[in-house]
Amino acid sequence: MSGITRIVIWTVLALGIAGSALLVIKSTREMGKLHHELQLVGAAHDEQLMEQSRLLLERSAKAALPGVEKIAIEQLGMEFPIKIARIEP
Amino acid sequence: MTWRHYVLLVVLFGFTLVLAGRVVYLATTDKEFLQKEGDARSIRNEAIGAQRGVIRDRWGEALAISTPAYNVVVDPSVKVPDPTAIRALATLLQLDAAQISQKLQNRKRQYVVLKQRITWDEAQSLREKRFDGVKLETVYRRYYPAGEVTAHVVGFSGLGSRNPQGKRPEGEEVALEVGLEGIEMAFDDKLRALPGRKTVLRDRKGQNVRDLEYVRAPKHGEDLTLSIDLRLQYLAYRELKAAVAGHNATSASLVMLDVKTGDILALVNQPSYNPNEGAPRESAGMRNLAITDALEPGSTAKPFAALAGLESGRYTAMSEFDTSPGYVRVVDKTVRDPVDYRLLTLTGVLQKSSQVGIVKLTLGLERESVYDVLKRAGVGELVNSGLPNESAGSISPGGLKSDVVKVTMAYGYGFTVSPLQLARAYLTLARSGNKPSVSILKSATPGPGEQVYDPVLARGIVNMLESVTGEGGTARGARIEGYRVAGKTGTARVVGPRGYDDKRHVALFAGVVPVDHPEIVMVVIIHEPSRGQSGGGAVAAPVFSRVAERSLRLLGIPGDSLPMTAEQNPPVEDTRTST
Repeated sequence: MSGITRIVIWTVLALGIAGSALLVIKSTREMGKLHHELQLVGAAHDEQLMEQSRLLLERSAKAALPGVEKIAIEQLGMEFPIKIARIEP
Repeated sequence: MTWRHYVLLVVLFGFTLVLAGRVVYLATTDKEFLQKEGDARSIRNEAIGAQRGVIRDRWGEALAISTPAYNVVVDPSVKVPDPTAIRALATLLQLDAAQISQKLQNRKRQYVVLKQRITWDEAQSLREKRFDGVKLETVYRRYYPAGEVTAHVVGFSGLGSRNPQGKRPEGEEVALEVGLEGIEMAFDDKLRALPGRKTVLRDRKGQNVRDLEYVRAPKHGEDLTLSIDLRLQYLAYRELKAAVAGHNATSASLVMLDVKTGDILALVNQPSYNPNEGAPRESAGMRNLAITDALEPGSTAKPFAALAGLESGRYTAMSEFDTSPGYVRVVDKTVRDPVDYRLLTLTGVLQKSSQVGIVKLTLGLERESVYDVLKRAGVGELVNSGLPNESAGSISPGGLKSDVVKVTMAYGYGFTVSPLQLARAYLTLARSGNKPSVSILKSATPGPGEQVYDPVLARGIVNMLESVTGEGGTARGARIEGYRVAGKTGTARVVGPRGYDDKRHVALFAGVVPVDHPEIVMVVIIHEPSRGQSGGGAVAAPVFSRVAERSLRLLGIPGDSLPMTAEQNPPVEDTRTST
C-alpha cells in the first residue's frame, strides 16, 4: 500500500468518524427537542382535558333542573302548567 | 529534544496509563455496581396519567367526571429545596414548613409527595415560582356535579390499592383511583383507569431529558351511561327532602321506573351526602335505602292478594265481602278496620284498604296462593339492577300452615321487600303481568321480560287500583290533573325491641300512571313521619303526585283523562310544610 493510499484511507476514516459524531450530536439534539415538544403537547393535552372537564361541569350546572326552573320563572316569567284548561268546542 | 521533554512525556504517559488502568479496573470488577448506582441517579420510572371513565345520565349529562390535578413531588436523593424555598412552598400549598423539612430529611428517598391533587390554578402558581427539585405529577380528581342528588346511585371513588371487595387492581403497585360506593364500586372494572409507565433519563437537576422506554401504555377507563334521568332525579330529590323535613321523618326513599324498558329513571334517598367531600362521617347517610333496606310493605301487598283471588277463579272485581262489624277473628288474632265498611266489592276492599275484606278473601284461597303470586312478582329474589349491596328481602312458605301467617302475608306482614323490589312488583302489574329486568344502565334494547301473570287479570288489578285515588279512596292526594293514576297506599308498623311499635310507622305509596297506557311506576316510602298524619295516603301519596306530575310533563307523556271540574276535584290539603 502506497503512502497516498494510506493517507486517503486514514482521511476517509477520520471524516467518517467525525461525520458520525456530528450525526449523533444532531440526533441527540433532535431527540431533546422532540422530548421537549412532547412535554409541551402533554401539558396542552392536560390543559384541554381540564378545559373539557370544566365545560362539562359548567354544562351540568347550567342544565340542572333547579337552575333552569329559576331562570324560566324569574327571568323569563314562565310558569309550570299546573292547571290544565278545559276547552269546550 | 531536551531531557525535560522526556520527563514530561514519561509523566504524561504514566498518567494516561494510570487512568486507562482505572477505567479497565472499573469496567471489569465493579461494572454492575457502578452502572446500577449511576442509573439510580439518572434513570427513573414515571407514571403516565390515565383518566377514569365518565358516568353520564340517560341524556348524556355528566354525573361523575375526572379532571387533571397534580401531585407535588420531590426526589430528595437528587435535590432538596433550600429553607427559603420550603417556606415559600409551605405558604403556597398551605402546609407546615417544618413538616415539609421533616418529610425531606431522608436523602435516600427518591419519591416524596408533598401534597396530593392540587388544582390547575395552584399548579400554575407553583410553575411560575420555579422551585428547584419540585415536580408536578399529573393525576386525576373526581367531581360529582349533581352532588347529593345522585350520591346513592353514583357513589364515590377514592385512592387505594384495594377496593372494599378486597380485590387488588390488576398488576398495580401504586395507589389508584378505585370505586368505593355505588356505581363507582359496582362498575369499577370498567371505569378504572390504569396509569401507564415509562422510563426516563434525568439530568443532575432532576429534570427529564429523555424518555428511554415506554413500559406500559396508559389505559383510560370506559364511560358508562346510566338509566337515570337527571331532571327526574332532581325533582324526586327535592320533593322527598321537603317531605322528610315537613313530616319530621327519619328517612325516605323513592324509586321511579320506566314501564316500557324497566329502566330506573330516578332513585333517591334521604338522608344523603355530598360525594365531592368524600365519605360522610355518619354512615347512615351513605346507605342506599332503596335497595339495601328490606321492610314489610303493609297494605301495598294487598293488590297481589287480590290478584291471587282473581287467579283462583273464585272471585271477580265485583265479588262482595261483608266486613261488618269492622273486625274479624283469625284463630287468636283480631284483625280490624278503622271503621265498619260493611259490604265491599273486591275493588272496594282495595279502595278502602280493608284488612277485614282482604282477610276474608285470603281465607277462601289455597294456603300458598298469595305467597306464590308474591314470589312471581320477584319478592325474595335479587333484582340484579347493577347497583351494589341489593337486598333480596325475605319470604318463606314455612309458616303458611297457620291461618294467621297466611292472612298477615295478604296485608303485607311476615315478609320483607326492598323499595326497588316493590317497584318491580308494581312494574309487573303495570306491564300486564310481564316481569322485565330492571337496570341502572340505560338499556339499548329492552329484554322481552317474563310473563308471570295472566295479562287480563293483571290489567284488571291496575284498573281496580284506580279507585284508590278516586273519591272515597285512601290516596286522593296521589291524583294528577289530566292523568288517571292507579296505586295503593300502605302504612306499616315499625318493629321495635318489643315487637311492633304502634307509634312508629312507615308510610308507603306505590303507583302507576297513566292508567290508560302506563309509562311510570313509582314507589315512595317515608320512614317514621312524626309531624301530623302518618298514613301512606297523607304522607307518601302527595309526594308521588308532585313528582309524577312534573315528570310526566318533562317526559312529554300525554294525559289520559279530561281535566276534572272543580266539583270533581276539590283541593286536597297539602301536608307538606315549607323547608
